[in-house]
Amino acid sequence: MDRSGGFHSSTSSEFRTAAIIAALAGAGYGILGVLQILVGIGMMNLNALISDPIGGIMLVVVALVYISGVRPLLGEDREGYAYLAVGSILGGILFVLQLIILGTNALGWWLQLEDWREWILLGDLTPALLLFIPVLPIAISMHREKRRARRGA
Amino acid sequence: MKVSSEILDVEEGMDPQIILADERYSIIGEILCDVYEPGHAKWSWSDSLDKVFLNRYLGLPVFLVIIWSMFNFTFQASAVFMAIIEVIFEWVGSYTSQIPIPWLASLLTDGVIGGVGFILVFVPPIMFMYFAISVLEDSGYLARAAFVMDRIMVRMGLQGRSFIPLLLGFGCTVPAIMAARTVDGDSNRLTTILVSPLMSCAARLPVYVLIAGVFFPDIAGTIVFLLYILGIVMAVTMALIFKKTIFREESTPLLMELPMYQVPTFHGSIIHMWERASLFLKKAGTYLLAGAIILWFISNTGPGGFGVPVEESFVSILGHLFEPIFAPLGFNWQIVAALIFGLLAKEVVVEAIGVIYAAQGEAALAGALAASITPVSALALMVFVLLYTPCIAVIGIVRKETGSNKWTVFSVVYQIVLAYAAALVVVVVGGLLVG
Repeated sequence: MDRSGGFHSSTSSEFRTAAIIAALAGAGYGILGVLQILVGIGMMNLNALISDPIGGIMLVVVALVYISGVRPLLGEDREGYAYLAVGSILGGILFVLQLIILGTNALGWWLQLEDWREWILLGDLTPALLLFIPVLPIAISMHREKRRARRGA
Repeated sequence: MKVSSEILDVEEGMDPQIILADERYSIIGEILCDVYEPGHAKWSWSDSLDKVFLNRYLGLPVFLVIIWSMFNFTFQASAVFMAIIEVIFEWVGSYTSQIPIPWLASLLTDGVIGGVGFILVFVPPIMFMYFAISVLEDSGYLARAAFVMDRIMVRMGLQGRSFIPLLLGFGCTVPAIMAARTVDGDSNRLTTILVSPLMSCAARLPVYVLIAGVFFPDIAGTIVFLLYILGIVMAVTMALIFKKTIFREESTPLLMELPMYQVPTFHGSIIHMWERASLFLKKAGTYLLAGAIILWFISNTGPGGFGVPVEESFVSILGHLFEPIFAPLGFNWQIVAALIFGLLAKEVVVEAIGVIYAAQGEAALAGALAASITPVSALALMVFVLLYTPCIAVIGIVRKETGSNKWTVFSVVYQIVLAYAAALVVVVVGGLLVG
C-alpha cells in the first residue's frame, strides 16, 4: 500500500492533469475574486457580481492555495495533491456557506417575512457558489480515492 | 524516559521542552516500529493537509477564510430564524399589551418580552456559532488554528501557549482566564489573564448582530468577522505592550499534539452546540429575566415615583450622569445607560437597549437606533463593547486567579480606557473618511 492515499501511484499524465486542474481552478477563483474586490471598492461596476470586497479576498486566498499546488504537481511531487485538496475544502466551505444562505433566504421568502419579500434567487448566485460546481467532481473523486486507499490500508 | 544532562549540554541553547519532546517522540517511534503496522494512507493525508493548513505563508490566510466563513454562517444563515422568533414575540406582545392592568401589561410587554424576548431573538446566531466552532473542533482544525497563531505570537516575542486560553475566549472569557493556569511563568500567565477579555466572547455577539444588522445590513457578517479579528489583534498588541513594559519574561515554545483530521458528524456537532446553547437559555431564563424585570422597574421609576416616563427615570439619571464622558463618541444617554448595565453581562446591553427604547420588534428598534446615533458612532459602539470589561463574572475570576486587587482594578481600568481610546479612533477616522 502506498503512503499517499492513492495518489502515490499517479502517472506523469495524471500529475499533469492535476496541475492543469489546479491552475484552472486557481485562475477561476483568482479572476472572479479580483473582480469582486474591484466591484466592492467601487472601481468597477458589474451587475452580475455582488459588492463584497472581503468575500473577494477569500476567493483570492482559495486561488492562491490552488496555484501553490501547480508547481509541486508539475514536479510530480504528490504533496501537490494536498494543495488541490485544501483548495477544494476551502472552495467547498464557501460553496456550502452560500448554499445555506440561499436556502435560508428562500425560507424567508417562502414565509413572506418582511425583509425577504424582495428576495430573488439571482442575488444569491455568487461566484463562491458557481465556481465550486466544476470543482465538485474533482473533490468527490479525491474523496473516493482517499476512502478507497484507506480501506486498502 | 532517560534525558541525561549530556543531551542538555550538547543541545545548549535549545529549549529543554523541545529536547524532551524530541526524545519522547523518538522513543515512541521506536516502540511503534516494533509493534505496529501503521495505517499509512490516513497518516499521510493528515500530514499532507498540514503542509498546507500549517504552511508558513498560506496558514494564516486559510485560517482567515475559515473564520470569515464561520461568522458569515453565524450571521447570515441565522437571520431568517431570528426574524421568525421576532414575529412570534411580536404576536405574543400584541396580546400582553392589551392586558387591562397597565403595570402588568407594561411589565410583560416592555420588561419581559422587550428584554428577555429580545435577547432570545439572538439564540439562533449563538447556536449557529457554537455549531461552527464544534465542527472546527471535531475536524481537528481548531488545534491547527492555535498552531498557526502561535507562530505569529512567538515571532512577536510572546508566549505561544497563551493562544489556547485566548481561543477559549471566543466562547466565554471565564474559562479562558481559568485556562491561563496552563501558561508557564507568572508574568506570562498574568499577561494572558489581562488580554483574554479582549477576545470577543459569545455574549457580545447579540450586540454586534443588532448594531451591524441595523447600520450595515449588507456587510453585517463581514463587520462581525472584522470585530473578532480586531479582538485578536488588540489581544496580541496589548500582550506585546505588557511584555515590553511591565512584564519581562522569556517566551516558551508551544508544544502540542495535533489530532488527526476527521470528518465531523452532524449528530456530534449538534450535541456540542446544544450543550453550550442550553447554558445560554438557562441564563436567559434566570439572570437575564431577573435583570430585565429590574431594568424595567428602574426605567419606570424615578424621583417622581413609579410609572414616570423613561426620560424621568433612574436609568435616565444614570445615563445622563455619564453621557458627557461619552459625548465625543456620539453615544446618547440611552446607549450610555445600556453600556453601564452591560458590566453585569454583555447580553444585558441588548436587553437594556430593548427596555429603554421600549420599541416593539427589531424593526422599530432599528428605526429608533438609526435616529439616535450615526453609523460611525455605531461602529465605535461595537468596538467599545468588544474591548471594555466583559462582565462582573470576569472581574471575579480575574481577582480569584491573580489573587490581587491591584491587578483586578488594573484589568478593569485598562480595558475601559482601551475601549474608549479605540472607539474614539474609530469616530475620528470615520469622521474624516465620511466627512
